[in-house]
Amino acid sequence: MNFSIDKNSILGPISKLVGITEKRSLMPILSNILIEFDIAHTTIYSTDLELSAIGYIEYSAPENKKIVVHGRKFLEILREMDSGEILFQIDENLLTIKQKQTEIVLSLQDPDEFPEVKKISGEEEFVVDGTILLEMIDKVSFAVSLDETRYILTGMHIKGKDGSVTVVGTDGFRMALYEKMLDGVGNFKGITIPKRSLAEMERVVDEGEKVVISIDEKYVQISTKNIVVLSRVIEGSFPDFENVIPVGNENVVRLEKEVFLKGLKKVSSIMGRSEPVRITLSQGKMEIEAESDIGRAKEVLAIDYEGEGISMNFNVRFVMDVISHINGGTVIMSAPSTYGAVLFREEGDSYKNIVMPIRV
Amino acid sequence: MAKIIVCVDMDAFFASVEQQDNPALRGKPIAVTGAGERTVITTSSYEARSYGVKTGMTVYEAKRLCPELILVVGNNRKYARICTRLQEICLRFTPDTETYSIDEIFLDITGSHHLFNGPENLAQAIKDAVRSELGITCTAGIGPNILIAKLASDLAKPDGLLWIDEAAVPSALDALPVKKLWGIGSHTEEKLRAMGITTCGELGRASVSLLTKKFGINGERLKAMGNGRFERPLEIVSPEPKSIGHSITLPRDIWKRDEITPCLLRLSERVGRRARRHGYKGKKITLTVRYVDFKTFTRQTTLPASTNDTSEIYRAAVAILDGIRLRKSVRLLGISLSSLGKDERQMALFQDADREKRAAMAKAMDAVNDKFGEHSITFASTIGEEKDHKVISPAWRPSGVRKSDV
Repeated sequence: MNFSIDKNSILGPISKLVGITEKRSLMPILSNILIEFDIAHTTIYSTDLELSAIGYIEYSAPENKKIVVHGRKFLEILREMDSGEILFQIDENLLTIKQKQTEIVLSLQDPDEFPEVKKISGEEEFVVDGTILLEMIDKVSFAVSLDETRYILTGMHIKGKDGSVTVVGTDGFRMALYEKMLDGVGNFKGITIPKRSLAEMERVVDEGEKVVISIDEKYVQISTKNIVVLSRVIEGSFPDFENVIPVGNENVVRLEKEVFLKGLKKVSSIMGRSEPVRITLSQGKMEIEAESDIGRAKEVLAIDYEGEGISMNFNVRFVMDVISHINGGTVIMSAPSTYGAVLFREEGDSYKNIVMPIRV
Repeated sequence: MAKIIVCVDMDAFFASVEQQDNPALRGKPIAVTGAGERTVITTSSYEARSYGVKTGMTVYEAKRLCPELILVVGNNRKYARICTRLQEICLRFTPDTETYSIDEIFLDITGSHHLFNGPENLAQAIKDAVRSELGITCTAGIGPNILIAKLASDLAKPDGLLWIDEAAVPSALDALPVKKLWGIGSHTEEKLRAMGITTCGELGRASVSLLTKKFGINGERLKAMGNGRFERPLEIVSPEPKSIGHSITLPRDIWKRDEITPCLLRLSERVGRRARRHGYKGKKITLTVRYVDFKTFTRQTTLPASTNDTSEIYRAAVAILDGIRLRKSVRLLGISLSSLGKDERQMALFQDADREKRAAMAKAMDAVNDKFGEHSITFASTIGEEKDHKVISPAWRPSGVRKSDV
């Protein structure tokens, strides 16, 4: 079969899909992508068995044909080609790519060996704007655990209740939680999406485009016009996150976000890897202090505060992560009277962060 | 300003302590050993050394060389106590000391020797204090760095005092065999010999490029050592430990799994307990196995998360053991915990009931053992184990993580 395709119409979808191929050579077939040419349109598949993607290209081939080609190598070749038409020639198990003076021949794998990639028709399905989906992922994924000992925490939890979707990320020491009202959301039991799948989803979703999210017990799938990403969910039960959101932390302080962040940054400059930062609240002021082998630092912020005098130690990275993800100019911090979970939030009730202090 | 370093090295430390304590042993060839029937010589007296008895020999070998050799089972607590007192004596002369091993201390007296009428008088004062307070002798070497100070003490042994000042370094080193230098072992000596270098003088004059070719980045350092230069400053504050480990030479060779595992549990408990006491957790577990023929190997595994929990260390060690096909009977077993970090004080959001229960149990057991002595409360499966036959490790220190129970 001989045909030609414009470089740009094929390069885009392929570059989005190739990230999902297997990099280690445990199953060599998974380093490949399956391209299904059809007289109606062309479909590309990639998978590493945990995570799969299907891409659609508006291209009508002269005949139906399936090929399996090495993903990253194919992408590399396409990138190096000049813009414009590229000629493809498929024989028995060889793919010849031609353009001007260039001719590259790639050997092909047997399409029957490629694992089946099947879309799910989810039990739960709703539509979300790409911008909102990206925001939801961004607001909680920084808190997702990297430690595989508690595997369930290495993903973002997503749960539907009364027309709103809640996403949660936690590493067991801090937790970010974002809630959004969305049309067409029913009540659904939470599932946990692996961190890696989130990264791929972020890569394929564009701001403003319509995204359909489908969920069943074992899989979660996001579909845009041109691409579908399908991920296995992490099995196991996610900890009861609702139960650890502190209620009645009555020592509330409103801080100017930039000033708070700057203060933390200044103080943390003298810190090593593991020292905590100490935050002390007293009438009208907040003190941020740190001490390490090389010295000590202190920043005093004037604040509007009438609560009790309290002092807490934190992992400074946790606090800075939270502040930098808060929208608007204000951070609202609520601390309990007894040493324990501190709540950080922005104006409104949709975004909450809980940070556990470090024992003294 | 050029530094002035003193190396105080105890003479035949363990043996001298025993001879001091028991007049019947004085002037006789004696050797200190570990307990148990199968142990090696840890130290021998100068009388025994003249027969060729050396540290590390088996008792059998030593007896063959010196049939009248008197064997004394070492008393680690006694040595540890004396090491601590030696450190106290040295601290009277300068705050900057490094207890390099149980019987060697380095002192940086650059800023304090003038208070004691110069380096030699200061060193003599230490020697006098050691003799009068501890009843044993030591040798003091003085030099511009620890390499030369150590060399001076080696050359002046026993009961000597030698100062090799900066000006005397070239003549002291010129004809000295390279192996006499601290840190040059037989392996390096062999390689140097192949290059035609046998003395420090030759090493100091060798071309850097030639040495670098053979020894990589160490080439430059070796040349500097040949010239008596050594950059390492004293480690006055003891550095963070890299690992916490224990090993045991078994009372008899064993090979059955159900004989080995109780030993591993006991070792795991000792490692876990020491890590907990100093607030460390580690991610890597290393198992050391020595066969009857002294062939020794190690295998290690990395845990998903840091731990100081006895049962987690034990399980990891057993998992390693189960992955090995033992080829011979085992003579020594060791477990160590590395990739250490300070115990997390970060509070957790969610309660992990299981882990908390184990931590609470460890805490309670540690408290009982602190109060009533080691192994007052322990795991039932280790009860059959005989008392440990420990030999005090050269890495032992009077304080900090390296202060293991002896």
